[in-house]
Formats: sequence, C-alpha cells, structure tokens
Amino acid sequence: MLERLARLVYNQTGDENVEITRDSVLLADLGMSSFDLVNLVCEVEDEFDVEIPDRIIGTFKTVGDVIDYIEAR
Amino acid sequence: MKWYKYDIRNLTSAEYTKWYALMSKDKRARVDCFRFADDKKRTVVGEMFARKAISDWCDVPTESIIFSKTETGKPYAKGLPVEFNISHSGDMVVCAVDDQPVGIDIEQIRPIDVKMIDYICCPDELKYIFQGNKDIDFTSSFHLEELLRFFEVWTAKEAYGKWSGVGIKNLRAENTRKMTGVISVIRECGYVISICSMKPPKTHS
Repeated sequence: MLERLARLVYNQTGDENVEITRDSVLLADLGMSSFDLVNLVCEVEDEFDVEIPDRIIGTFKTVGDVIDYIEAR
Repeated sequence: MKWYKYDIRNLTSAEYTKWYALMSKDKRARVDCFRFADDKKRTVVGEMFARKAISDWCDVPTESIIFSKTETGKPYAKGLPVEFNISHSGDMVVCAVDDQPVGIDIEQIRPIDVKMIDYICCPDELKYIFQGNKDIDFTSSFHLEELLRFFEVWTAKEAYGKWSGVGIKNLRAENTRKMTGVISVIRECGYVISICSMKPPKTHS
C-alpha cells in the first residue's frame, strides 16, 4: 500500500529521492501544494478504486492518513 | 491591501544567503531537505518577501520581524498589526499584506487532468470554464482560454480558503463565481493570480 501510494506522490512532486513513510507530512515534508494534493486524491481514487469526498481532503495531513482512509474502505 | 510578485530567477546568491540566515531553524531545516534548487529558492524568496512586505507595511526593520504560528498552523508576525499570505508556483512568488485577513494564490498555467475539474468545480464554475464547449482536451495547452478559466477558479478557491482560514475543505460547495468584489483575478504572463480581500489590491513589484 505504502509503495503504491508513494509512486503516486512521486508523480506529483517529481522527487524520488525523498523517503516516504507513513509519518511524512504531505505539504511540509514532501513539498506538495494544495493543487498537488487534490491531484493526488484524484489519482488515488483511480488507483485504489475508492471515492474520496472533497470535504475529506483537508483531514489528510500525512501519508498514513491517506492509507488509513483507503484501508477503512 | 498591497501585493507583491517576484521572479525567483532574479534572486542573487548574496540575497539567498542573507535571507536564508534570517529564517528560523525549522525553516532552514526544511529548505535543506529540498533536493531541487528552485524549491529552496521559492521558500527563501517567500521569507524575503514576507519580511520586506511586513517591514514596508508596519515600518519596522526586516530583521526585527519574528514569525510564529497559530494553533491551526497559520503563520503570523509576532506583535505586529498585519496579516500576510504567500504563494508560489513555477518561477513566481507572490505575497499580499493587509490589516485584515488576506489570501493569495498563484498557479502557472499547465495541462491538467480533466478529472480534477469535476472534482473541484460546482455547476456554475463548470459552466464558466466550458462555456458550452464540451469537446475540450485539458491535457494539452491547445485550449488555453479554458485552461486559464480553470486556473481562475482554482486560484480563487485557494485564495478564499486562505482568507477564510477554512483551507481546501468542501471545494465543490464554494462557488467562486458568486464571490465578485471579494476576489480579484489577475492573468499575467502564463500565470493566474487570485487575491481574496475586502479591499481592492495595489501591486508592487
């Protein structure tokens, strides 16, 4: 799960040398913008076949938050 | 309300060193973690801009400004009657200052995934972007006018979210087409900038 999500994050940041863990903070640690985050959510919906309502995006602070949401579904 | 724009390609190495040294230990650590020089520059220019704009607005020396964060993570200048906001994209950094909340967002025009449009836009915004033309390929820059309209909507949502403090929650619920008078949209050399404020913007390069 983490590897698949990390691949999608790398698509947004373009930097594969940054280690991605469950604790990585999407905006601060990984240098993502809000635009990148929304783009990531759209890709996550396709990759993991889940629906993520837009009101949920603001609750995604870390990579682990996204994984927990996907796994709960 | 004043807003400023800066092209990071104009930043000299002496300026970089000067403003990097004024950053907090945490911010410097974040800059050090960035692999790409442009990411480092954008963050340092953000610091420079915030200090210069606040210095100009409050008439205090740039070096005397101390930044902190609220419980929700919003940065502020300790003890100074000023609100500020920063955004960057591509080679550009923008900063807005005011004596009341202000939000600013800039995006470089680039091809996008059409799914993103459906994800973030309400019916009024979709109508504005497409204007009756359903046959649009947003993955190429061929449909420039439609891309520009999309980024107008996106930056307006971002600027509004930063101004109100709600961030990017309920993206589709916020109709930026009904926010005229609060949001100013500027198209400039391959970028779109939106500013959300109760006062009209004045630009300073």
